[in-house]
Amino acid sequence: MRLGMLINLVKCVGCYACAIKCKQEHFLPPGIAWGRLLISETGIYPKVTKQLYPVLCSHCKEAPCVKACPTGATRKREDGIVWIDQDKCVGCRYCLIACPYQVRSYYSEEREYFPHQGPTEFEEMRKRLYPLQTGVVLKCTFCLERIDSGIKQGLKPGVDREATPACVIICPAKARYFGDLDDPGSEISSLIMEKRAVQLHPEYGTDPSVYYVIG
Amino acid sequence: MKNQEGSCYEKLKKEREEYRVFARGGSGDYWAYTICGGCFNLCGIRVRVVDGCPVMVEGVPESDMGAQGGMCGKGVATIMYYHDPNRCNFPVKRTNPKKGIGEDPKWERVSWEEALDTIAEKLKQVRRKDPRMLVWGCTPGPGTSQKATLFVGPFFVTFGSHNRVWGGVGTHCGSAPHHIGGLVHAAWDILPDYTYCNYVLRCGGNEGVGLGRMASTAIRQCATARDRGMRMIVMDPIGYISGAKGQEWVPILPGMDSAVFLAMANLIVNEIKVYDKEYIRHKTNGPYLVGPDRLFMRDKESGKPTVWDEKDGMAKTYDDPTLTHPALEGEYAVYRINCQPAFQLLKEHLKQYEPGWASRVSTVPESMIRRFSKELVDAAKIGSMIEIEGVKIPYRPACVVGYKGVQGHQNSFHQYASLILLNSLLGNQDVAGGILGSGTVRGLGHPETGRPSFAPYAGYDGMLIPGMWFTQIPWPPAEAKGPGLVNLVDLFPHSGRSAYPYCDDWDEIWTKAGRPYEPEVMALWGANVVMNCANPKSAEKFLGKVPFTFSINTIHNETTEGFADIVLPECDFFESLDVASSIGFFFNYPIGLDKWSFHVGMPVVGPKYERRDTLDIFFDLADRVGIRSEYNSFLESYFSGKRMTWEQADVKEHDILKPDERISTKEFTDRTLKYYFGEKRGLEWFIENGFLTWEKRPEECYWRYFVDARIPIYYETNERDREKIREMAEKVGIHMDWEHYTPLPSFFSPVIYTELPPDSEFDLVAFSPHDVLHTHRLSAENPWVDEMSSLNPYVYNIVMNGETAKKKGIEDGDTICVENHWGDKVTGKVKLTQAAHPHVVSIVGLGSWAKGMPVAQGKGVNFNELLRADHKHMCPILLAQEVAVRVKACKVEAGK
Repeated sequence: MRLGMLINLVKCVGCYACAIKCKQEHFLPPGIAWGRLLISETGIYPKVTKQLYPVLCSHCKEAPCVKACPTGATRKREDGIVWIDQDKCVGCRYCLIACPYQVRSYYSEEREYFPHQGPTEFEEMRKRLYPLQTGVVLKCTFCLERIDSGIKQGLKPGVDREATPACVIICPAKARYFGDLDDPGSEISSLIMEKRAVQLHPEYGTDPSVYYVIG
Repeated sequence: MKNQEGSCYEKLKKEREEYRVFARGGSGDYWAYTICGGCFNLCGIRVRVVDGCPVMVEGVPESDMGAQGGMCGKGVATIMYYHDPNRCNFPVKRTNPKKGIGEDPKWERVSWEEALDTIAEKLKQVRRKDPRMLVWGCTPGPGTSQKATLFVGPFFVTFGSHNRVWGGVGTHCGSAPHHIGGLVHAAWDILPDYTYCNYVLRCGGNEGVGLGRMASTAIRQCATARDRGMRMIVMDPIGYISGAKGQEWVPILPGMDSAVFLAMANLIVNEIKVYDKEYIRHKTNGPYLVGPDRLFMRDKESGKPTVWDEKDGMAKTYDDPTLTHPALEGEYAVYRINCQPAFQLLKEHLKQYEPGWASRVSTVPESMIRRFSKELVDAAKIGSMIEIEGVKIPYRPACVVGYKGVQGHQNSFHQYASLILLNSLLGNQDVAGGILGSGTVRGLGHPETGRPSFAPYAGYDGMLIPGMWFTQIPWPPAEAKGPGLVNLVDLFPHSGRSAYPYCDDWDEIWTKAGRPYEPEVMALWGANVVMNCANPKSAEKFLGKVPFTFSINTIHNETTEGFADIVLPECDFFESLDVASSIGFFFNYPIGLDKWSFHVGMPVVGPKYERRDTLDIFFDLADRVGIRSEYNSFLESYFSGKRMTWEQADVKEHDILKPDERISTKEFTDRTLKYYFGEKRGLEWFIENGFLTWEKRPEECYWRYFVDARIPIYYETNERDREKIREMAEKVGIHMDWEHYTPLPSFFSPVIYTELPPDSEFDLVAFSPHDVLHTHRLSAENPWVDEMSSLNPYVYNIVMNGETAKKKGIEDGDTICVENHWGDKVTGKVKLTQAAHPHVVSIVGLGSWAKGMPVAQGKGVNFNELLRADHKHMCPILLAQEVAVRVKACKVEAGK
């Protein structure tokens, strides 16, 4: 199995639901966003094309970050998810530089969402539900907790909400799909073929697991 | 601080106990259902709560009220509103007597008893003298929802004051869409029928791409439509919000849309000559005969407008049962007076609007105007039918849609009327694939109970009247009188809302009107007037003079800090029990064949500190002021469906509550739900099950041919009322272009182009687009929204066209000053783009300074400081504000 994602840019409206939901799902602190929205512009007035690109870790098949990591903290699972073992990460940030998609963040110190007013109850809840260490690199995990927990309950990633990344299930435009790229019969594989979806910067040779329908 | 004593705290304790029961006593890890309060669209949501802490929100997959499991970004972000440490937690009173922008109120905590006693005493005094002395504003904005119109507004209406002024929706609220939407669709707004539509010309609005009507529901529907190939042309001064999602972006000068619309209508009627004649004949007042005085030729006995029956060769009333073929063209003698059908007049009237002219004034190329006209007509498939679930419905899969950008101008009425005219010509209104009133305005009720049910119907002159509305119904317009209301809406009865009294000329007008009374109490509910009305200084002029202001808020803002004497802390939607938002069907229920999806606002957590829920506060106040029976009667009238408008029914049978009953919010909610859905589906059922859905029938959502009523293409009351309104308005110093009161949609250049010479140094038009992340002002305080806004170059920056900037020596990232021709200035960093008309400057309206909103402080630019609020910058018919302004822009040199 190789888990992957497809984002249909025809449907995407750039509402930031994916980026904000990711922060919510993982209790991410201020300044750390595992999903972002890039806005491009091509053309000259009045023939202008704007494009909105939600970007996240592409969980590349040939992940340069894995190769760059000196401690083995960044590893690739059998299902293709590239994840970071916070206990092993020493914060050297070689992976940050190695990643050509610039989707990694270094979590330097704790900050509050409401500066000088103390952490909110939500931020306190992070310590219980999703503890993050400072001094490490963080990035999108394809919500591996949801996937692993879902599979244990017999649910299917990409089909059942509880087993699917939060950014996929929250998209109001239903622009995001998730599933097994190695299964030619999966919805995502069919859509990649049908919609001629592309990877970002294939010339990097990373073989990302996130595809885009450009339209 | 006084002790927590008195009946108020007993009530508070009881309310909290009841709410904690819903919220499972505050322990455990659970998901609970409620309604999103991120904007006024009220999508159904579920919230995860861990030991009393809301941590996550998501949509509801099984419901069509929203994105079927998804949510928009600002909705997801609402968790942070709940957790904001700056929330209002206790009643406070102002101890700094000085009021004004930026003043420190020096809040002192008081008890609820003291706060409500003080407020009630002021209200009773005012009620004895003249209830109009109470001026009030509310907002259907973040966290507040339909409670504004069904709990809050009615309190003041039953108190005796119709002095409703801007609350938080502010200057850009849809004066034209709501009024004309009411006349034409019996709905508050319009949206394409995305399920079947194939072609949309979208103008000055971002519905369906993240904002506006139906937010997540519309995103979902529109995204699916675009993905299957629906063509979307976006005509807008900027091309990076909805323009980014259309196949074509067509730049246009702000306020000039009506030139394009009228030229298109001319082409359709007089050149292409393909339009839905049968629709106009039977569903509009196009066949109504008009005399030389431009008024309808009325039957002498009944007073009803007449039409010419071509089959029988005679004049008949429009509702004559023998009428079969009313004429649309020709000249006929009735009572020996020459008359023509209104449509004939329209046809001739349109000839003056040539596409070449429209191109010159709007900057939209003539070839595009011609092409869009042809494409619309071709796509509309006029005359075709479709069968949906066994029901035959006219099929018109093309439409024109627009909202704030079209109507936020001094020519508001005609901007919107001409847009609507295009849809009328296509015959696509409330039929499959066309343009639908939003939300669905005809409901036959749950199949088991037949409730709630509501439907538009025909009224005076056979014209459409909404079956569910809030504020006064738009038809027929009342007779002009007064002014006796500070908002001057009684003097301008075609308007439903106005920018008065937050206008620079209000005081002078009020003096000339004889100062019927002086406002003594200002009541605000969630309304940040200072930030949401044209120019904070104009708002200050009025607010600063009102002796006593109380406000009900979840968080302090520029208005409470500057002007409130007492602020009451309110539950936000995570803590609120709210059935009003369930009844806001006509505002935001999913259009088309999406299921009826009935959600209830339910507290997912118990309220903290001393926050109280909206209806509890107003029940308490009603008791203290002595209007509980009137207030109960309104709630009975509306919620039981006897009369779902602010004009109340004469209630004889009480289905939900009696006038003298003192029931709690919980009891009211439970009774209302049981009344609608049966004894087994009260509040307990909804706590357990979350929401209720049932299938919508085609004759509900595509109701046009199931309701025998007509809509205007000829606005006779404009002609009828012009002279009287003109005379009365001029007496109080209001001098407007009264030619706007013409019955046919016409072109009037908005004041931004007429008040300065063409070669003026103020060569740019500044306006404020609605950004996808923000709604009202509260969103600026949300740290997640702030974080994303910081990453989006179009939110906090001033945006302008790259070539224009280059000519002015401005580079990307420079600090620039934007100055209007009255000397008001704003500064900010510039973001250059090719996706902006060369003559515009685009500024998302932010720029907060309130101490109570520290995250929002200093972010973005307060666009409204560039606007002027006075009668010269308003639509003469609707009093809609001109929200664009002529400016110049220059680089600010470092150190200056």
